Amino acid sequence: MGVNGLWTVIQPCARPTNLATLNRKRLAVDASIWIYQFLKAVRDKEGHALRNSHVVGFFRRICKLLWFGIRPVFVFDGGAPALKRQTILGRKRRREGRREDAVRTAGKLLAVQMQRIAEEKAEKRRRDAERGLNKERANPAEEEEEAIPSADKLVYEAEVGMSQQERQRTRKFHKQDQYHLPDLEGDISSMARADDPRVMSVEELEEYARQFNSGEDINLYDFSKIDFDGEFFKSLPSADRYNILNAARLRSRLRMGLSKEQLDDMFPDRMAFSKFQIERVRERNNLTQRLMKEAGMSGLDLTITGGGRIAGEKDREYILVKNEGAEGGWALGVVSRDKDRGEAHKPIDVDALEFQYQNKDEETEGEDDDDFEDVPIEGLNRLPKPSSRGAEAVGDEESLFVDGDVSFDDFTEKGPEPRAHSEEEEEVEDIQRAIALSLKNQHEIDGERQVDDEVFDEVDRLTPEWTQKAVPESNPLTSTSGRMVAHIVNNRSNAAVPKRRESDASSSESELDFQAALLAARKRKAAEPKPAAPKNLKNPFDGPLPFPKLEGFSLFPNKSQQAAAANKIDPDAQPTQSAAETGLGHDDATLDDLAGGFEREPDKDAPSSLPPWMTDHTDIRETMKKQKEFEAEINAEDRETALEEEMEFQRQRKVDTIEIESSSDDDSEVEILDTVPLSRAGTYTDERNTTNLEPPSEGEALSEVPTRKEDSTIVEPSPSPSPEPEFEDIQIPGQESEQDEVTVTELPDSSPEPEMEDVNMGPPTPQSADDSLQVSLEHATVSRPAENPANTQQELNDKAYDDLFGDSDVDEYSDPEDEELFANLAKEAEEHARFASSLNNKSEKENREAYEKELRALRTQQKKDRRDADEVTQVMITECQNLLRLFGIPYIMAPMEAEAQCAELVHLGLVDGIVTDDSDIFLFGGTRVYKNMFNGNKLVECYLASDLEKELSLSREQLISIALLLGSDYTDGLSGVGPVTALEILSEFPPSEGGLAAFRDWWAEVQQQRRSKEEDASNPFRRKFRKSNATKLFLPVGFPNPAVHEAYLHPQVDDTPEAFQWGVPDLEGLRRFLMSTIGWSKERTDEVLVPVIRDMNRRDVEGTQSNITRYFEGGVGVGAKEAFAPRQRAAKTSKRMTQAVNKLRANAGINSLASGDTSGEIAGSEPTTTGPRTEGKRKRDGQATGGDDGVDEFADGNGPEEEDGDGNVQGRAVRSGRRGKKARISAHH
Amino acid sequence: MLEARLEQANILKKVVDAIKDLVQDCNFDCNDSGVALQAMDNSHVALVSMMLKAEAFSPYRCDRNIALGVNLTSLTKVLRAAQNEDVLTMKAEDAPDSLNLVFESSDNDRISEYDLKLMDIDQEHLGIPETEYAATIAMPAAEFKRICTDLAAMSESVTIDASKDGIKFSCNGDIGNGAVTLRSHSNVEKPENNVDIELTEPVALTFSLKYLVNFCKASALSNQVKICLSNEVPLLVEYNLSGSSYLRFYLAPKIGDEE
Repeated sequence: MGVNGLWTVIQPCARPTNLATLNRKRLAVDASIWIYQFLKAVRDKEGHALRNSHVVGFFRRICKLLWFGIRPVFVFDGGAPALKRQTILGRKRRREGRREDAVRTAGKLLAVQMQRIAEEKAEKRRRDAERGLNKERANPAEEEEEAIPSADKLVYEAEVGMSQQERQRTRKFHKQDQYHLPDLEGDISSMARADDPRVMSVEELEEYARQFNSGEDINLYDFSKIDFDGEFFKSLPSADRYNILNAARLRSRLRMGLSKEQLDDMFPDRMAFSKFQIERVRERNNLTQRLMKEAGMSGLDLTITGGGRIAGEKDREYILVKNEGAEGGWALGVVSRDKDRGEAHKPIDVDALEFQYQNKDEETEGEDDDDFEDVPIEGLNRLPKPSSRGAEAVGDEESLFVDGDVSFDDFTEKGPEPRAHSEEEEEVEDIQRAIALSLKNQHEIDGERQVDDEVFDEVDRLTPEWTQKAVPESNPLTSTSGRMVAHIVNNRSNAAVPKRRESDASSSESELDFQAALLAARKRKAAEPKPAAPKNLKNPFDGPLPFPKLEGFSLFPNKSQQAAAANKIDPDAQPTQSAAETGLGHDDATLDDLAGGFEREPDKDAPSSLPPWMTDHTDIRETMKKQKEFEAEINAEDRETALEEEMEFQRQRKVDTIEIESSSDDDSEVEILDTVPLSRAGTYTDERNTTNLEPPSEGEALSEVPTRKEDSTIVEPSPSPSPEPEFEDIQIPGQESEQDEVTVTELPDSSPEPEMEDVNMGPPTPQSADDSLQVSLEHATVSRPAENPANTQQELNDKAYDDLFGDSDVDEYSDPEDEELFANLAKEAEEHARFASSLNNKSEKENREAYEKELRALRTQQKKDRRDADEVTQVMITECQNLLRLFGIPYIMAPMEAEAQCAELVHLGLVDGIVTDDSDIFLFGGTRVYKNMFNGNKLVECYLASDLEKELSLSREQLISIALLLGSDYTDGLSGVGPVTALEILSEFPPSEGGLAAFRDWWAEVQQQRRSKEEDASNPFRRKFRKSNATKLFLPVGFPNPAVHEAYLHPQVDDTPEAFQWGVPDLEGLRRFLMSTIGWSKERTDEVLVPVIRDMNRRDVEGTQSNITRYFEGGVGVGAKEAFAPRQRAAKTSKRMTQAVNKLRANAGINSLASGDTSGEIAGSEPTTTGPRTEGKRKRDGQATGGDDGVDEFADGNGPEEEDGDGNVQGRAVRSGRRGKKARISAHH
Repeated sequence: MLEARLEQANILKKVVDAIKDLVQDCNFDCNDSGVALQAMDNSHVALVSMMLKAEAFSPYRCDRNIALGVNLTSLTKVLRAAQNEDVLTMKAEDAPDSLNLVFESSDNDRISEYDLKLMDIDQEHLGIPETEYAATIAMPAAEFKRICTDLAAMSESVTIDASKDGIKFSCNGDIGNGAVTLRSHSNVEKPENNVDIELTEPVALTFSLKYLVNFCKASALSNQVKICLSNEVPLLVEYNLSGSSYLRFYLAPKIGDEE
């Protein structure tokens, strides 16, 4: 963007300007560069773009502008001129290359890691052998380890309950990733008995799927073709009629899938559109009436479709039946295969039924039945708490967490477990949100749930790291009905939950400073497993109830149908389907079944500890696959991060250690959540003993810990069945560059934890550090002794790394040019590490160091590639424009370049200045450019075109020449020519001598050996330039391209002189918009917006503070009137630069002298580079000098002083730039 | 070459104290008519203009125009070393790097000498047009200060309404509103307590109290303050120094949205 390196050239001309002085100024804002900046700079650490970063960024920036009373006009890019298109095409080609690079880099990363791991293994083997020989080691932990006889007899903690055979089996099984399950020895159906209610036969499944399929196809119909009065329609079953009507009604509400533009095209006339709308309304009304009639007529609550089935399991259905008797109301009926059930002699005993199932030997799913009972039709009822457990919500929660906690304490594969844990929490939260949305008119959220909310919120705060990762898809909730909202939220929970995340994460930050927000977010950021968290929560209502689905279909037909199809295709997934509502334990259990039916102890308590609405699943199989990919991605990512930061000895340890550490950290997380120290103690006790030791102090809350623990112990060996798989299906499509990751999937031993823990813990407390230490000591059997002390340190390292990272990211954002600085810093750090290791003189260390370096370089490369491969989309622009409209801020689409339009607006006097970071603006003739508007607190850099001319003697023409040398949007520039060299060239070949054309001629002569060295020997620049560039620099054909000049001097702009008008922000609209696009809550929005609007209102009442410059004419200098700010002259540029600038000035002086002297004679033959604009400038200088006298007069008060005052000012003019004086001298001539 | 001897260091001390909160760095422009200073505050809302005429010094010599770029905070530090009654002498070269300040105690023969480094401040002057003000109020400086501080407690801005009934300072804040009205008043015994209002047409303007309170720091310089108002023109608050020397503050009014 802009002219490469131009900012550094003109930096000395910057005037730090107080933002307050911009009050009531109309500023043109180059919006395109904003979006570009957000897209490029706001990245997560993987280099992925954050969706909607542009909305957040725009919002914050707009708020800041409004707060300072600035009246912005946003200018968006229109098309790109031909010249730019060429350059862009070139860029694109490079970008394509980058994309390939990204893939290649990922491949390289994999290779390097594989190599490293292989070496590690070799190393480990070597050390194992060593240990075998050398039994006397000082480390006590190692002694412990040595006591272990042989790998065969060794029993891992996780294997406590297993038979020898099982142990063998699990050990033989080497997981490829978290979800790699061991092969089944038979298929699932063979494991179940014929009457096992958990397993559906294939026929049953098909029937089941059909049931849900039946209602769906209606959405494919064109409802406008259906004659609702027709006989055929009337002959349909009432449920179908209802479905069709409902779908038709919903469809009628939409714009028939037409975009605004299409509608605009269809109805050029507003009146026609109005009529169209009225027509639709009438139609909808008609449908609604029919619908109501339908519902009323049938006497059945048709909202519950599919035959009124509200819940069910194999062989039984519960339906609501209207009681036609005197008492009226509704009754619960059961449709059962036991034909006589429900009759007097065989009453329905719901409880008994449960027990019947629970008592079966292989029963593992007692909890299912529990949950069935409480099937939350609307997702509202919570599971009644078993009386044995007491009724306090806190206790409930506690035990919930303990559950999760305990499951972490196993030391087999538990990579995904902690995540699963928090996912469920999120899930809960998500559902709660949905519930709250859908039912605010029906139910109060009870206090208990609020308690939950608090607890979960705390979780949020502790684990907000993934906020930035999965920014939600833009997903406006178009529906008006609460239920619909709930459903959409659920259906697309992956969109919804991240939104929530984001708001949570950012709510703790200061309002106006986006950077601060980013910084904070990054700091807390860690492994990104969470973004995926939400899982699909198909519907909290009740498994796959057709009713909500129907609504969903009408809005999102494709997605839902896919899901339905998945149901059909995947018979294996059906058990999950049929098991409508389950708890955490159920997830495990279900997946266990899938994995091969690990046995579990019957446990009544465990399932009930979880609210039924917490879980739900559909097409697990389908998602499993994607989950795998995602998992692998996470793993790879985390592994990479971990690798980068681990010290050498840390890296030597096995994955087990990492896991241990993570588990301990999770403990501490739980501890924070519970704030019951005792429970933690209990957990540790458990951990230590790996038996059912139960500390008495635990109370009911912990009562289930042992059992649960055992469960999970058994469960663990199967590759981590967890609710996780569920969340994937929407997540995946949202992730764009996923594919890059997938290549890394095979890493066998990655564990996502090391990163995550920092975040979960917040500041690493000594307590938790101790914990981890303790735990790892306890499990020295698994971990390697040498690593024990490493744990705490690693945490610190990771933390530090995170901080570092956060910083660099933010700064990247603030100014892409700062990247260099950070790259340098990173290099320095690397160099230091290398230096330090070489001091220690350990060759193997250095060896690793090399890997490290390579890894890091590759990673950086990957990140960069990814960033460069992204592009600004039309959607982003539209979103930003919507935001502007709501803010009441005018915006225009430039015909071509936004910068050119901005410059034109200034010339037309429609705005007072330009806000942009794009240096092209000067080339388009812009002046009073405000840069870095949003970096500092109060000061912004103001650049005046006149300053450039005065200080650096750079006219617009010469700036264009610089662009030709350095490269810009319109030209590629010369390779090997930097800003300093460019200035040198300009000063060496002044416009009066032909400028760049002269340079070209000279260089051509040099390269064709037509010019001897002696000729240039006396000129140091030419001599040096010849020497350094002789073989490198080849001028492109047609250099300097006159088209570039033309493009900058006469851009296509809109020169309508119509003034802009500013409106008032629409607070309500903004709230809605931000809620729907980025999921900000009302409070979150108000936090910033309300003070800004209040301030605006106050200003309306009291009037705005005007600036004194409004009243007093500036006497000296062009900028004095408004951009009055003392310039700082501290910044010292390089010597070469200074020399070049001095030379330029001298040239300019000569020029003006010459033109003054000889104006009569050679005015016509003046080189083209001295355009009319330069002349104008000079004239203004003249005026300014005239003004001096006035000021001094004012200061002195007497006339005779005038002469001296004049001299005085002249003296100062000499100091600030010779030009003025020269001009004056020429004038005297 | 500049050499200016001020009989009382006091004056300069008070001037610098009065403006150092508004302006951080500024040029003292010295020519043979005296020492002048003009600077705007950071937000460009207020402007300070000081003129110390040559008559205020004895002797005063300035061969060429010299701009002394001074950091006022630093100058305050140096001036703190001077007693109020000390004789202060400023000296500077023609193109000075530093300003030489000599404090001579009149009581004893103590002579202290300080060199203050100067800065190159690229500051430009505004042309202030001569204005016939619609309302000119002369009042005790202490009274003005009191009004400003009292009203500042209520609100951010004050409306000054000059009419034939008198001059009314009113404010409207979150906690309530308040107003102070002054009428012409002459006290024969204590002429410094006179309130003198000259009015050609009624004026009402709104100003930021924060700045007015800041201006009042100059109250120590003079018993009386002159306030000049005209519609569509900045407020002028003038404190008279010795002779025809002055310290003036200009404050831009708050204006409604219609330009």
